[in-house]
Amino acid sequence: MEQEKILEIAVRAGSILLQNGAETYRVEDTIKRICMSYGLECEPFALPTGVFVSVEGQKGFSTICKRITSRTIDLTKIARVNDLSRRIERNRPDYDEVSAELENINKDDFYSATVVTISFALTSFAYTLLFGGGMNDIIAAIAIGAFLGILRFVFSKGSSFPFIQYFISGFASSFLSSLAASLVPANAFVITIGAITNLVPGVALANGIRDLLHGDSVSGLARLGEAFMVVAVIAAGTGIGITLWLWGGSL
Amino acid sequence: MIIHFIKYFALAFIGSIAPAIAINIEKRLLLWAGLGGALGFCVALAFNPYSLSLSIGQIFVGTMVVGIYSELMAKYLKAPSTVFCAPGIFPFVPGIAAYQTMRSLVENNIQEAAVHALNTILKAFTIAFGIMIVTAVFRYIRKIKYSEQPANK
Repeated sequence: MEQEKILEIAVRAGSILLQNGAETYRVEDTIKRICMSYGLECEPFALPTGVFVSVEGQKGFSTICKRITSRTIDLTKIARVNDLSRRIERNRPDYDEVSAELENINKDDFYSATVVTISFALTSFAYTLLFGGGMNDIIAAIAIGAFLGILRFVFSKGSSFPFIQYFISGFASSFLSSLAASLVPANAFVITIGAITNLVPGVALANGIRDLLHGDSVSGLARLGEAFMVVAVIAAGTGIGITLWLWGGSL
Repeated sequence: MIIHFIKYFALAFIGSIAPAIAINIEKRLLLWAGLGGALGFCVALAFNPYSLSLSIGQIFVGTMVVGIYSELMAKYLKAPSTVFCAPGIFPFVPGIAAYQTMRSLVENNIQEAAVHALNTILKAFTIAFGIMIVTAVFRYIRKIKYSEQPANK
């Protein structure tokens, strides 16, 4: 296979990993593994927002720099790219095969929007009950959780940092749960917590730590900072929701 | 007592599986991801079974259990350990403290807000630290193993 094609495949695999929230060292290892399988020396450098790869072959040096503009979290895609890179190492398939496979991985979503929305509702249900909610609380929490799930799909095609989604989600969970608590005997406190737990940036936290410990301090701090920002935005949304409700009640 | 634990085991189990779906974990790993969170939460709960506001020590032990579980399972099931770790920390999220912080801020009670905020931040750091220490130890062990292998051959 030609040098450019190997490089292209490696960068495409790497950018799929980055777009779906893989750790930095996993991205660099995968790119390195793919290039080495075809006998190329390479030097990758990955950040959460972009990846640079330089290879040295018979044609001299070539470099690709790829900017990552949209990011989500999809651990299945990460696992599949990982499997593919190991298969490349063993069998060295040709360009078309790998290219088609990468296309395939990037295409399909693993869980449908309905399933994800149900999972949001389930999370709300579990944490509302865990923090001592009653029957009314649980019903309200399931409804609000499902609403947050729908919000996620409404705003997911925006930027890599869905500020508006987090803000509106925080706002909606506190405002709607206050509303629910005023209509039926329920506890706004547990409903809000149950709904908000859906938005906790667990993957950013876990991967930020792993990056930091691996020595990728730039990526690690960036991820932890992002997790912190997410929490701050949700908190602001929640606070404004409570304020508005109290203000409306005092009118 | 046992029913109490079964109830919270089941809740933490659902509470770990559902976020796992939201971050697109493969179907074959879902149950295992849920088990990690449930195990960690029950171990943490065992120190003080009837209080649901987990103390810092409980959170530390619980997240360490989750961390050890995810590193072992990552090796056993051949998957990234984030798959088990990220859903597993959900039951420890200090939701109550975070809500109380915002509530006191809204009521313009800054002193109480400061106390709750510190509580929230410390608990969040404890979650991070519990995972971190386990990851660091496992990475250290792996490094020693790898550096010894060529010498054995």
